[in-house]
Amino acid sequence: MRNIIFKELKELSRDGRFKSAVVISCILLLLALITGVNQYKKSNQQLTESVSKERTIWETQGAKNPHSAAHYGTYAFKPKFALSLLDYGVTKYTGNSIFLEAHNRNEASFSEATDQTSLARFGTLSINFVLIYLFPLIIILIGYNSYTKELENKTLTMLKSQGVSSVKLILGKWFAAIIPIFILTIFTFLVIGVVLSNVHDLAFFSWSSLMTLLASYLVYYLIISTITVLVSLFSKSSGTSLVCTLLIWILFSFITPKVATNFANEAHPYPSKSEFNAAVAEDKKNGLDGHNPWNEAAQKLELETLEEYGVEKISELPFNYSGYRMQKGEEHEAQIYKKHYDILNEIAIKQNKVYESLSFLSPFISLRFLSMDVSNTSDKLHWKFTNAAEKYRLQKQEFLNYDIKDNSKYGERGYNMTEEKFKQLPKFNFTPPTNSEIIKENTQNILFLCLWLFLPFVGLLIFSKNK
Amino acid sequence: MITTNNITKKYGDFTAINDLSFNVNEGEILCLLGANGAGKSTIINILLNFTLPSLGTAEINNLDVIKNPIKTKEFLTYIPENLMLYPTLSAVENLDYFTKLSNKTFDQQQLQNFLSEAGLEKAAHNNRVNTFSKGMRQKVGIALAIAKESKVLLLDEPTSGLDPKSSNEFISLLKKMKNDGVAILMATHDLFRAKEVSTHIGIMRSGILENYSSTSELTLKQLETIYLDIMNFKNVS
Amino acid sequence: MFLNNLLHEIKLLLRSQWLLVLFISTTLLFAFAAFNGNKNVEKRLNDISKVTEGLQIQDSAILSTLTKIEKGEAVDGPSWRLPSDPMTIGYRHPRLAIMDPNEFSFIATGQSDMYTHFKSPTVYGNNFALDYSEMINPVQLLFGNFDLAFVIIYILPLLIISFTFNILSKEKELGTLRLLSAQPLSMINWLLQKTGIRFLIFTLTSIVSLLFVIAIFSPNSLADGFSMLGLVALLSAYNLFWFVLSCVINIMVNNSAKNALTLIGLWLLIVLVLPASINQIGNSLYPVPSRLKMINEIRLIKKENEESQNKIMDEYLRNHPELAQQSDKDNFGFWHNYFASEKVMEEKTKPILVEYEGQLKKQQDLISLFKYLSPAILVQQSLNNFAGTSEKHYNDYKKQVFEFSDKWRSYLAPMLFKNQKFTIKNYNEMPVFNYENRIKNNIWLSTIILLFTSAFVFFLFNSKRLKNKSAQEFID
Repeated sequence: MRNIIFKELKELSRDGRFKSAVVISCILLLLALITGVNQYKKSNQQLTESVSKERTIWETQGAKNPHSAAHYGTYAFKPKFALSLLDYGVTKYTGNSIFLEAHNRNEASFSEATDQTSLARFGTLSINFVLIYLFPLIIILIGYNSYTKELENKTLTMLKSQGVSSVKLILGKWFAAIIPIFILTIFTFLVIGVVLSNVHDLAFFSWSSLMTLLASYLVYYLIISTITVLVSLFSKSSGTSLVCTLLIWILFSFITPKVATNFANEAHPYPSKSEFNAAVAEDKKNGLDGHNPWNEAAQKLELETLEEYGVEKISELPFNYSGYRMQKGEEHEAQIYKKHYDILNEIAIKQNKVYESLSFLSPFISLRFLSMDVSNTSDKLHWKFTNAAEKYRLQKQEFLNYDIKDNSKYGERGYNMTEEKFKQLPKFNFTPPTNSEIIKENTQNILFLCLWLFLPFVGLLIFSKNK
Repeated sequence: MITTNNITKKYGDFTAINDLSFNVNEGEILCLLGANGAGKSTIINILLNFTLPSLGTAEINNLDVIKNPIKTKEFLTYIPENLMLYPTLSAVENLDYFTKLSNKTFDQQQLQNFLSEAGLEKAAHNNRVNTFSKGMRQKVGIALAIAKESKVLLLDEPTSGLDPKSSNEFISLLKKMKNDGVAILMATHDLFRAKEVSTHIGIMRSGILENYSSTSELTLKQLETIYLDIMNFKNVS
Repeated sequence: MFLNNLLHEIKLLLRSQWLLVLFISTTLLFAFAAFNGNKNVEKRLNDISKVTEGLQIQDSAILSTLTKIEKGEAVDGPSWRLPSDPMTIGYRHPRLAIMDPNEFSFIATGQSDMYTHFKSPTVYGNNFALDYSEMINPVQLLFGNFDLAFVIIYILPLLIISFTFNILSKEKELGTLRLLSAQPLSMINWLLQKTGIRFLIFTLTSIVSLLFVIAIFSPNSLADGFSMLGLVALLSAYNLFWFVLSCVINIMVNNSAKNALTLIGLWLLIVLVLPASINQIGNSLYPVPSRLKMINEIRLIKKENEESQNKIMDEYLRNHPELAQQSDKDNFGFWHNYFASEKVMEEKTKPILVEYEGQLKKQQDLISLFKYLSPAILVQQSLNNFAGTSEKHYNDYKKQVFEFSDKWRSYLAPMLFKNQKFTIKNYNEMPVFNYENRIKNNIWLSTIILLFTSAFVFFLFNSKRLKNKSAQEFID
């Protein structure tokens, strides 16, 4: 079999089309890497600048009433993740800063895509773009005629007469189709790893995530080469084989994902922003699910508090009740927001389920989701970020409201918090999930990829025996 | 009718044809004999303007083929070694298409008559060509020549791969056309058929016309001797 | 010869059932795409009708309260929340600025999945800095929609390639080429006729199935014959480009398998690699100005502004004595203060935003110059433009909303300062937003550019061959 592999590779190394395809891919990879690193550095610099500027603005706002400060608010910025250099995922389509203010939970605003022209909808040249769209094509280029060329050159009967088993022959072809891509991919990842470890100010880089990505892409390439060889085995001519594998490639990477979008949108539509806001406003007015609105809950809270401290009037409480009440009110409203954002998240998860369930038509979808998740550029990560920002907002509100509660008197007018105190607000901190957590979340995608590899491969073994 | 004047064709350093001149008149059949690579097909390609000669000129019906590539083709019909037609079309439809390409239009009956004249059985006229044998396809080619009223017929190895019966039929067709005044140039390996059908015989080796004689002047035995001598690199005077 | 070739070609195509396959596949693709596009438009209209209904309910309540007030009947609620207060209308009941889809919106989703199609600019607030993004699962934006634009830009070229990649090489491989070349005809003319005939067949088929599908899913849009003609012209020109490309490759390469690979490579380049690279390189060379920086700047201004708010009010009243006549009344003090500070805020932040928008527009204009580098980008942009879903349309919509918010304010603010009541008469005469498509349709320009590109490619590679009538090149 080694002999077969070597012969195939030798033929390949003399194939001009293969060489030019590899060279073009490498140029594109290099281009993607250089522009990617540049953009990464630039936006990372902007981000760190903005974070520190915003913090300075917060810390130097001077002595001020804490509630005014709460209205003035602050921003939570989404950090840049090292592997976003490799796979941009949905980062272009999600905002990367959230305004944190009193009474309102805001969405991340100003996504990159809304500032770009529709040219952006063609996709962006990134390393992932080359890996996920172009490398499979190289495999197809290598493998589409792996069997049919022996038929057409009438060398198959020669080979058979030498006593070569067809399984060995086919496996040899299969190996020959993947070896060049494996070498190329591993080399690419090594370069990325080295580049990433040398980029300054790199956040959250881990070799294990990079290796997970490498492994998932390699599995995808195995799937593509298995299918390519399988199609070649069934085709009567190289032309048919090429057309069929290209059709499969287009079905995998373009048609199924787009069809999935339409299915997902149809089955689980998102509310419009105004609809969403109206629903929130409705709950704010009438209470969560139409009962226990805040004005009722506030009365109850007052009675409970008075009872707990055994006093009759609010002014007799050992702290400023208005600060306490404001915080409870904030928490009350936060629950309403939580409910509605949870509903939204539910829809997003259901939509993603529609995508993932269409993985049985296209392993591309599984790989796409897995790659985004591992690179921390998925919508899942964005949800984690927005939830963390909301948690921080409540923490900030508590910090400010409890300052009123503890340091001012009931009914006091013109109370200001000292400038020094603003500095004590903890900074916003967001840590992405670990690689193993991500893998756990993606078991279904990994399972689909394995099935896509396993079934065609078994098919390949069975059918090559019969040939 | 077919004239070549001092034609030389070189592919780089390789000389495919060297200073070749001959003439085929109306009612004559010139058979070019020779091994593979002797230059027989090349001369036909030059007459068809498929390749350009390095030196020399060629004429069909007194028209230079290089200067009048399209006009000269009105007078000739070419039957390649393996004449291929559109497999999904019938014999009549194929003939219809090719005659129209030659700016001639015939009705169904006329087309059928041409095919019958070329010896294709009536039952096959409306069958798709993908079921046809080589001999049957060649008959469609002859029908095309008849329909075009070609003055020149260029044949490249027409009898190779034909069974003896078809071969005989084909040869008698050629004789008939010769008698109608068509000038025929035929490249072949087949000594016996050449002797049988031709008026003149040329023997080529390495692009050179080594021998040119009138067929009636030679017996088959003589022809065979000359042919083998030339093939064995012996000089024949 | 043309008629003969046409009949011959049709006969061949019918025999191989290619025409049937072509017609069915284009119709199915178009139908599914139009169905999806229609669904998207439906959702958009549905969202719009939901908000309009909501506003109508509010408005009828306003009207009945206003009637009561004008009749002198008693009404509930504090006076500052009654609709007779112009600020209640201006703040609590802003008008809707709706961007309705046009009749061709189902053709290209474009940017419509990212942006909202209705805004309610209030009488004060950062109306020039509103966020127009719509709530959507970003994965949907990443993968995109299966709409007619996708089928036309991505899939049709592939069908064309499979329809033409062996138009000449098949004759060669079949063996008919030698017989053909021996006929008294110019081979290049013959090939051009054959390609032309296939182009006509293909384009007619795709136009028929497109119109058929549109007639089913959006019959109204057929009424605008001239625009439909533009769409058909663009489609034909884009088809022509791919036919020309295929014809050139057929002549230059002339081997079925190699033709197919070369054409697929070109497809990949034009539809996928070039746009993605242009996008990445363009944004690298001319980056979108940083929103983060803008946020920082605005935050600083807000901070400074807050500190001097009280002073500003006096200044403001000094500058606007005509508005100050009622200022001694307490209940308007708040609004004055608010207006004043908003006004100054606006004056201070506006330059930053204007500068940002300016930079953004410059960047977008630069990037959109690149559309001429790939016919696929050109067609995508013109289809978006045609469907009213391009970024230009949304930028203009933003502008229109801002213009409207100015009108809205200048109608209501004087009422506040003059202490006028809002009446039913005011309700009937107050400004209403009407979206107007102010973006020029460039579909004909794109068609002409595509035709020129095709002609350029054609003559670049074929000019010599057109003069040479001999068959040598085709045979070997």
